[in-house]
Amino acid sequence: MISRFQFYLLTINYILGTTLFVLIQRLVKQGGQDAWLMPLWAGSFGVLVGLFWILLLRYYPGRSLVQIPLDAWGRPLGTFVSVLYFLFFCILAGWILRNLSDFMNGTIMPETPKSVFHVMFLLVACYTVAQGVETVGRLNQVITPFLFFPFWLVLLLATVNWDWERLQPVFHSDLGAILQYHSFLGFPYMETIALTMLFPLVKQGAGRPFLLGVLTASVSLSMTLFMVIGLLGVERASRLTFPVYTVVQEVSIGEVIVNIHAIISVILLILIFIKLLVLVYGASETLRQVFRPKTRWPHFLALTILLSAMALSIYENPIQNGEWDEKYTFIYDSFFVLLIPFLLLVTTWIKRTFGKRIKRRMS
Amino acid sequence: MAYRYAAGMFILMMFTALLTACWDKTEMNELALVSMVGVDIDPDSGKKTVYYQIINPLSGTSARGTPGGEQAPVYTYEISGSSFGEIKSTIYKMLPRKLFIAHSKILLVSRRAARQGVRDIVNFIEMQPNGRSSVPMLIIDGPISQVMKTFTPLERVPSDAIDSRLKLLIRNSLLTGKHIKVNDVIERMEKSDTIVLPMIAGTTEKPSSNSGETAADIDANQNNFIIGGGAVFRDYRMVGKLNDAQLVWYHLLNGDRGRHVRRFQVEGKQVSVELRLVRMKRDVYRQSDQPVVRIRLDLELSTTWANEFVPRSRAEVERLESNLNRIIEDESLAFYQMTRERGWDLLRIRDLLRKQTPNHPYIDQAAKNAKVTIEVATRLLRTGSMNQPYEGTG
Amino acid sequence: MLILHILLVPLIGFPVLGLLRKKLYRDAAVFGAVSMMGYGLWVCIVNHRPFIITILIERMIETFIA
Repeated sequence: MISRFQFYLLTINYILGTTLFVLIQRLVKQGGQDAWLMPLWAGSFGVLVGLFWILLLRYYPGRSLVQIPLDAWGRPLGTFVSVLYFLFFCILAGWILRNLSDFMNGTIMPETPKSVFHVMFLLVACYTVAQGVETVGRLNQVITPFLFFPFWLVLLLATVNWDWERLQPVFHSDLGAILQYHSFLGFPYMETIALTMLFPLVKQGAGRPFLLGVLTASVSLSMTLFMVIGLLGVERASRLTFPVYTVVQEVSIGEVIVNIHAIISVILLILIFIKLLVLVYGASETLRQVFRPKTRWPHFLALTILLSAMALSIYENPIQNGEWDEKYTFIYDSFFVLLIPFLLLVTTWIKRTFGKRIKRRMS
Repeated sequence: MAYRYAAGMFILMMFTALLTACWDKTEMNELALVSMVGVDIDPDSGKKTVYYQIINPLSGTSARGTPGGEQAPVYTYEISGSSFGEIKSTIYKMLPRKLFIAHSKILLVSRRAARQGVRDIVNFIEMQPNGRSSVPMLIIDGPISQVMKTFTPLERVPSDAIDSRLKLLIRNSLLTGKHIKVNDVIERMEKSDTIVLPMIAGTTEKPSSNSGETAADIDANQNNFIIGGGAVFRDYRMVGKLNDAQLVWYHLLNGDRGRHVRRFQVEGKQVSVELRLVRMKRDVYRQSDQPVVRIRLDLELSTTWANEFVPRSRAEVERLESNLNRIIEDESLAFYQMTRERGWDLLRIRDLLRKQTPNHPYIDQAAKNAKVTIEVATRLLRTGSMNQPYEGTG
Repeated sequence: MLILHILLVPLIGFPVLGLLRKKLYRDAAVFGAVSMMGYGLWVCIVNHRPFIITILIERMIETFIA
């Protein structure tokens, strides 16, 4: 069991994980100098969707996301849906591993083969998850100050290059462009469904820390975008692949504090690791809860083999990934995050309504 | 149990192999630390030539007495290719170490390359993961190989010499501004703005290729380069040049805060006054449906360097201040007229209109025809060690 | 290719055999299914013809919409 505060921190770090370096450039391109408003509106959508899941999970107290289809639709169909969720978590995990290796190859370590990053991260992640959810929660809680303070300190050090004029004219961007960017709703907000696997394990209810975590992460993203636009300007930030990395690369205090971008690399690595922990936990728990195997570690080995392969098979190159993200993320995520839970909710309501009527007729 | 032990050992062995970063490890003495980069593009053939000035780690007092005499502080490598990307591979035909540009301090671009356009150069720098676009960019007025192969007296590494000169000029004059870096060029050019970059020229036609000779020569103006003039850029191309006098007004009207000493003719007397911009306000108001840009400058004056004349009374101070207000307003307005005639928006009026009147239908037209008024308010706040200069008896 | 087989066959084979010997048939089936999925993807990767998952999902979505 993890505490509410641990779950709150886990939610924040999960959302910030890959968003901070994959999505910043696209958001600035879409929103211009007002791109910092986008996380606020997408965060509100994330909260609404979260409320929807909380409603569904209230009908099945103590059950996780993959156990609900088994209860609602029976063993055969429920197993099929749970396997679909298992594949969903595996694909997400493969995605973030690939984002990580693309980042490392593109910045600091261009010669290292991608699989080295994937396998190393997976070995440590599987070991951590095998120790249980308390380890995941506690690790995240201990590590969060080491992420939060250096990240904002380094961004504050970069403010020597700040220029308010880069944010002007304010509130003048195309509002339609901002609201129509639906892929931002999909990644990262709809992906937080993986955290519902941990809902039954949070003491005193997970709903409030989850929603607060979504809001906090949105505010944090908004502030980061604000800083990136103020430090780099829209023209550069919308073209650089990793704007946060470039911002920190250009920090120069006196002539002494220069080239400190390694700090940001480490922060991003740890954030990705935490996101990976949640997804590996989700995938392994799905296997455990649906198939109820008696052993644990062989399945982690199988997951390592599968996820390391998925990481290399998930997309061809960042350009194809960017295109896919813009066109299909929302539809793909909606199937798992909106459609299936909606059908589960409808089934639950029907069962309860008719169940009550039948009981009344019989008594 | 033995199975788990074997599995644990296997994983530990994998860690040992995979955590050594075999693929990306580089030792310090395998790196060629680049301190300055020079770029030239041949207008006829399009051939790109890049000059890398590499720091020699063996130079310095500890290396004195080594056989062969004093070591040069830097070595300049010249390499050509049809594109900048190709040079990344062909550089190793000459260079014996791995190129490391993360610590380069200055980027020099030849005048002919600047006239053709620096967009390729800037894109190349931004694309590289290790390249920093927070380095100043200067335009070479003259042959580039002459400047790239010049040793400098006093400051042994030429890039340090240029870097510290730029810092001193930014603080102690209005001849250079802060926005001269590659990222400033990108920002301004992408907004269809203008930018003025400092120019640098060699002082001799044939610089000495022996660092010992340069270090032992008392004449510091020999074998050196001088920063002077400004290259005006629009749409990534150099479209003109500003002289030192024009640069002062350019930087003043763009809000730079260097302390600049200039000699003014006030009421028949020469007086060298130090100016410093304290506050600048730019706003736009409408006058009979036309935008009017009003620039208000508050300047601080100092007579520390006025060895010719120092006001004695408050009335003289006020007269000096009002005369200087008028002179500065006239000269800066004349500068604006000159830039308008040449079609250079050096006061960045278009950018100002874009920010303050974003809903204006024809911003480009309005910027070209905008009326500009400059209001200057000077205040004498500092005096030197003497309140009156010596006059003699005759 | 050969190295992949040398690495993965024992890594998958030994646990499966161990689980079957302990009569944990369900565990062996789950392990086998998941690792065979991974094995299949790895074979495609090593042959420089990786099976791109997002392109498959794209085709499924396009078929469904059409």
